[in-house]
Formats: sequence, C-alpha cells, structure tokens
Amino acid sequence: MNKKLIHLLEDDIDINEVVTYILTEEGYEVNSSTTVAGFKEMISQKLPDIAILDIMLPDGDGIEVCRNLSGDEHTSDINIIMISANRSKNDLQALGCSAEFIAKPFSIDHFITRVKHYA
Amino acid sequence: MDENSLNQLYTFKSVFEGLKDAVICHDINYLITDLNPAAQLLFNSPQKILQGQPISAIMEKAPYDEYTKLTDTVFSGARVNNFRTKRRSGNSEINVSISIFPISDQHGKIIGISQLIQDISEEKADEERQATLAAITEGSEDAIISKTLNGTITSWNRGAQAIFGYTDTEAIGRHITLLIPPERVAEEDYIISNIRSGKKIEHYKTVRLARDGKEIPISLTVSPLKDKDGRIIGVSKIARNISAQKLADEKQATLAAIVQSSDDAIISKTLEGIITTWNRGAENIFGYSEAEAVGCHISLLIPKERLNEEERIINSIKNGEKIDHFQTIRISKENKEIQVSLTVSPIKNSEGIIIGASKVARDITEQRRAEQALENNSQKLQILNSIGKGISQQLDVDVILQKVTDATTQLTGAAFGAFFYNRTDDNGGSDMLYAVSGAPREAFEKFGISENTSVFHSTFNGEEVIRVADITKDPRYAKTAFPFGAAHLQQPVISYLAVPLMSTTGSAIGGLFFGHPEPGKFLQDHEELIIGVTAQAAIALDNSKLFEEVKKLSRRKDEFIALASHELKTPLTSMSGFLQVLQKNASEGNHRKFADKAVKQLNKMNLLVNDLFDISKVQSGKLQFNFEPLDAGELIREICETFEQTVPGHRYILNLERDLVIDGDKMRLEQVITNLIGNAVKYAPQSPQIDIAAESSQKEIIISVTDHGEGIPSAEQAHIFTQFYRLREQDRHISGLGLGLYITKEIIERHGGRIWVESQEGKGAAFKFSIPRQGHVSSHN
Repeated sequence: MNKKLIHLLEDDIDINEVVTYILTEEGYEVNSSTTVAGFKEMISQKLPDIAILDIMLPDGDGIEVCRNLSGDEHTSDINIIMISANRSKNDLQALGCSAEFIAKPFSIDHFITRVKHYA
Repeated sequence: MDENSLNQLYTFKSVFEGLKDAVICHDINYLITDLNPAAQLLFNSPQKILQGQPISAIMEKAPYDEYTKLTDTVFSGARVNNFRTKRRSGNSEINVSISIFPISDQHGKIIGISQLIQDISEEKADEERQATLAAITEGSEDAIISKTLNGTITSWNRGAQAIFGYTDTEAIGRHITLLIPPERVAEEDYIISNIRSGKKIEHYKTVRLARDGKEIPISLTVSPLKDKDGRIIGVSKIARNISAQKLADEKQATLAAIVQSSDDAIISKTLEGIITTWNRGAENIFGYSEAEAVGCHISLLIPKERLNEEERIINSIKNGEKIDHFQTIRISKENKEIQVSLTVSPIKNSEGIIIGASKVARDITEQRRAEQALENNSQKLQILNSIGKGISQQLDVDVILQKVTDATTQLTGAAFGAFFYNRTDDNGGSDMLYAVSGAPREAFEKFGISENTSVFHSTFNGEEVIRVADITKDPRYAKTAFPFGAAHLQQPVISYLAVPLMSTTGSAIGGLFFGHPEPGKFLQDHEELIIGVTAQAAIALDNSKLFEEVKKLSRRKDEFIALASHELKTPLTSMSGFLQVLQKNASEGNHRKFADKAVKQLNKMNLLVNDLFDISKVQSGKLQFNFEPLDAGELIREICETFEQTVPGHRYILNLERDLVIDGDKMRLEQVITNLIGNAVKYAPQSPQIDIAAESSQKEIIISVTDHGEGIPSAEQAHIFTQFYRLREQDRHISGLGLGLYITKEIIERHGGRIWVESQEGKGAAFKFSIPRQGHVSSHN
C-alpha cells in the first residue's frame, strides 16, 4: 500500500524535526520545507494528501498559502491542517481559511488522531 | 348871705362852670336842680336842658334804671365812685365814669344827688390800646423787651422768658448786658447811639446769651420809646430767635453747594418745560451756560426723535410719579449725542401742589462704554469657549488645525487664514502640518517644508503678535509676512495679523496667519481673541500628540505580545514534541516518571503563557469569540474525562440536566470550565469529590462547580474575580498568575452571562455561571 504523503511547512527546525519524526513513526511519508517558496516547489513537483501549514513564515503567510491551495482546482483536494502558536480557529475563520486548526504546542496523540482523520 | 359866702358861691360856680367833667344835680324827686355846661354838652339834647326837668327826660330807660338803682344806694348813705358805664351822647354811645354823691343840708339830711360824669372814651381807648399791646407782647414768640437809655430792663414779655430763660421778676431791673456775650458788648453802645439819634435798627443779626449760657442767634429790631413830647426816654427791643431760620439758611446753602458741585446735571423746569435752574454740572455736560439755558424750553436738549419722551415724563410728574434711571440720549450745545441716565422728581409747593420738575441727568457715556466692553468680552469668552469645546475633544491633529483655522478666519473677518504647526516627535523628526481657510492649499504648498523650526522663530522674532494695518508700508514684514507662498494668493495681503503658537517650552512652533486686501482690518480685539484661541489650540495639539504616541505604543505593545507569544511557544512546541516522544519510548521506572513530570510541567507552562496573552487581549479588547451552537453537557463530559485521566485522585461527580444547548464559543467555554475545575483541584486538594452540575431553564443554563474544601471568606468573594488576585499567602505554592478567574469572568460576560461564587468558610465553595440560551446580550466585537 502506498504511504500517504504529507507536505509540512514549518520554519522552526526543531518543530519540523519532531513533527516529521512523529508522522514518520505513524507510517506517513513526509516532505518538509521551512519556507513558502520551498513549499511551493514541493507542491509543483508532487501533490500531497495532507498539507500541514504553519502560519508565521519568514517569506510568507500560511493563511495565504491555505487560500491559494483551496482556490486552485489543482490543489483544492488537498486536506489542510493549520498549526499556530498565537492564533485561534476564530482568527483563521475570520481570515477566510476554514481548514482544520491545531494549536501549538499540541499533544501528539491529538495531533495523530486529527491527521488520521484526513488520510 | 355875707360877702365871704357869696365869694365862695361865685368860686364854686366858676369851678362848676369850668369843669370839664359833666355835673348834674337833682333833688330827691329827681328834678334837675343844677347842671354845668359840660353836662349840657355831654347830654347833647336838641333843646337846652332846663332846671326843674325830670332827669328821666334826658335819659333813656335802661340807663335811667341803672341810675336809679345806684341813687338808691346813695340815698342809703353809700357813694358811687367811678362807676363805669355807657351813656348816650348825641348819636353815639360813650364810655363814661360816674360818681354819685349825696347833697346834704346843714343838718345832714340828703336833699339831692350830685352826679359827676366823666367821659372816659379816650381813657378807655388808651386802656384798650394798652390791653391790645399787652396781649401782643405777651402772645408774641419774639422777645419784647423795653429798657431805659441806660440799659435797665423795664419790661420783659413771655417770649423773652421763653428765649432767654429769665422770668420777668428776674429780668426787670437788671442791665441789658445780662444777655450780651462779652465779646459783643460794644454792640449795645452802637445800638444806643443810634437810638439817641432817633434811628431805628432793623433785623440786626447777632448773638445773645440765655440764662443757661447757651448762645442764641437772634435778629434784633430796636426802636426808640418817646414820651408825649417826642423825647426819647427808652428803647424797645424785639429779638427774634433765628436758630431755626439759621438752620434753614444753612441747609439751603448746603443744598446749593451740593447742586453746584455735582458732576451730574441738575435742572429744574416748570410743568410747561421751561428751564428754571441750571447747575454747573449741566453747563459741563450740555455746554450751555446758566444764562443761556434758564428760560429756554427743555426740548433744547432733546433729539428730535425723542421729543415724545418729554411729554411722557411731564405726564408722570403731573401724576406725582418719579422717573428713575431712565436711560436715553440728549444733545449738547455742539450737537453731540450724550448718553444719559435721567431721574426726574416732581417739585411741590407748600400746599403740596406740583409746580414743576427737577431733573438729574447723569452722563453715562463712560458707563455704557464699559458695559459695551464687558459685553464684548463676554462674547469673546463665549466664542473662545465654543471653539475650545470644539477642539478639546478632538484627537485628530488635522481636524484640530482645520477647525481652528476656519473659526478664527471667520472671527477676524480675514479674507484668508492659515495655521501652521511644526510637529516634532521624540526622535527629533518633525513634519509641518497646516490648514488653510479662504484660499486653496496649493497656494501654500510652495513653502519649503523645512524641518527647521526656526522659521517661526525668525518670523516672530521674539514678539508676541504681529499686527500691521498695511504690510506694504512696513519694510520689516514685507519679506517675512506670509512667507509661505503669498505670491500664489489671489488677493494681495495688506492687513496682516500673525499670532505664534507656543510650545510648552516657550518656543514658537507654529502660528496663525491672517490676511486681508483692505488695510486696518485687524484690531486689538481680534488679536486678543486669537491669542486665546492659540492657547487652547496648543493644548489640543499637545493632547493629539500624546494620543498619537499612546496609540503608537499600544500598537507596539500588541506587536510585541504577538511576537513574544510566537517566540515563547515555538520552543515550547518542540520541547513538548520531543518530551512526548521520550515519554512514549521510556520504559517504566524513573525514565518514564521523569518524562511524565517534564511533560506535565511543560503543559503548565503553556497554560501560563496562554493566560498571559489572553490577559493582554482582554485588556485591549481583542479577545475574539466565535459563537456557534454547542452542547454544554457534552463539553463538560469531555473535560471531566480529561481531568479523570490527567488528575486522578479526585472524584468528579456529574449532575447534568438534559437540554443544555447554547450559543457559545467552544474553546473559550472549555477554558472556563477547565479553569473552574482546575481551581477546585488546586485549592481543595483534600476535597473528596468535586461536583459539577448543570441546570437549564428556558432562558439560560447555569453550570456550577462545587468543592468541599476550605471555602472562601465573604470579604474576599468580591475580589477573587479581579486581576492578579491570589487568595491567601499560603497559596503561594500553588502555581498560577491569578489570572484565571479574571479571564473566566470576561469570557462569561462576553457570552451575556453572569458568574458568582457561593461559599462559607470551612464549607467549601460553589462557583456558578449562567449562559443565556439564545445569542448573547453584549456583542463586543
């Protein structure tokens, strides 16, 4: 069976590492990038099943990425999970992004449960 | 009869005939025996009275009856002496004095009556005159004193007693100098010498002394007393006490002086309006001299359009009414208008009849001018006040500038006005802001926005205000006046007014500038007004600056909070992740235990950081809520499950009613319930169980979390929902920032509900809150 592919966009290296580790342990294939540019590159090469997006990025805004993904028919099927330290679901909805939201720091179990929900 | 007897008889006859008094004798039968020529004259009968006639023939009945009564007494041996009565003599009645004697023969037998009748008319007249004189002298209030030429007092009337105090017995016989003050004794000589030469002294005003030593002002009239032959034998003095008159005179003099010295015009006129008196004040105010004004009609002073006032005034006066402080206008000799305040009173004669009017006219020109100035000032204050109100609440600097410019340009009547304000910030940067009224902004854009504030310094050059009637005539200002693009104004600047805007440090940081193409448009009043406005504008601008700074700081704070939150949470996230992995992979024993503890602490830390950032959002009103229908029962169950797993050791007893669907923010309500149960766990660790109940009604649901710990004293109950409040000193060991309940309260209230505590010391505490069913009362977004 094919592993499900997750694209991760997170600029903090350590968070990046621990999330990748956790997901890999659960049997997912994980590609990660620390920049929006890098993420876009990944998307152009391969479409994931799930995109996990941080919000505050050095070269962009995760919410905008989310909007772009859902707005583009090519990528609108991708399940999106937003993770953030200082936003809430309320904020996101106000900004036009109705994806799943998980607040940092999160419980690993909860995180895995939500990921599994989508793929 | 012998010769002697005959001679005696002739003598008696001669005497009888020659007597002036009338003698008529009759016998006991009342037949006339003798009568002398005087008697003939007296009785004056048409025919000669003859001897042998009865005396009744020549007397009328009444006198005859009276006579016979008298003779009866004489026949009895009496005598009648000086009996006063009246007898008819011819056509008139005369006063007579009758004496009646018996005629006795040699034996003493009465053989007849002899009646002596004296005409006492003159005497009587004299007597009457005397009596009259006496009455006059006694009744007179004046002192009537007669004295000899040597000065001895010979008579003294009641008036003299009243004035001088001496009785007549005390005064008569004394020397007149008794009454004369020592320094006036020479007067007496003067008086006497005049009298001796037959001269009278009339109304001589002097002073005499009374018995009690008091000086009495008197008016003396002294006349010589002459005897029958015209020889001066004494002096008669009439002394009138003129104290009252003197007082009246003095009063008169005082009043006259007052009228003369008054600055007000005091004029009296007849009821027809003819001026009868005119004082110096009237001369000064109206310009006419007394000679010019007296006799003229009062309308001389009245402007044509006000002539009917005079009629009204006269009518009031005729009714006995006064006119008080009537403000009007009169005209002077030079045809100048004078503002006056008139007071007119009726003049009454001694019978109380109104015979004229007395006017007091006060020149109130100065007073009116002062009133006008006061009026102006109060208007100015009102204008300043309204401008002040308009800008004091303003925090937007552009609005302030524009409002002030518009208002002041209008107030000064300027054709155009500009307000320049050089705003500096703490970093030394500055920008030039300006507002324009009456001219396009482009006219001023050419002004090089220099950051050099000294431009104003040089403009004002230390002066307060620059006000020039014609700028083209004043070389000093020709260059610097309206230094900002005056060339682009459509009209030339002739009148110029510039008022600096002063900073709190006392330097000019801007100014209000006004111009007008006509000269002399700006007056002292305008200057003062604008100075007042710039003071207020300076304050408003300062406030706006402060407000801007506060806003900036607030923005910076929010940005910092967001950044700090992100920065703190990032390592927390990775640490949390790694620890959880370690936790999962750790074998039982210390590794597992330590990993568990580390994860727990991290979670705590996370909560604390959350609280911190929530609190900041609450304070800046930025706590976002997302309301949706949710089942509070389900939420409570989920939370309790988590607690059972994470904080075992307590029993969580649920008592939930069925229908608990409400509108709420799930995340925030989760925060609330977690906070309350968490507090129960923290503060009542010994409590065997924690009860969580939910009641529902049509209107709302009420959720309660009850512990059985130490309870909360009622004094503290009000405080626990405030920021940073920690209950007891000994709870210091319990971690937390004291923010939980504060944030919880905010969340509940944003839902439109209420939160409270019911507790008694030693008996645990029940925290309860209500959430309305439908929607939320307060919407804060």
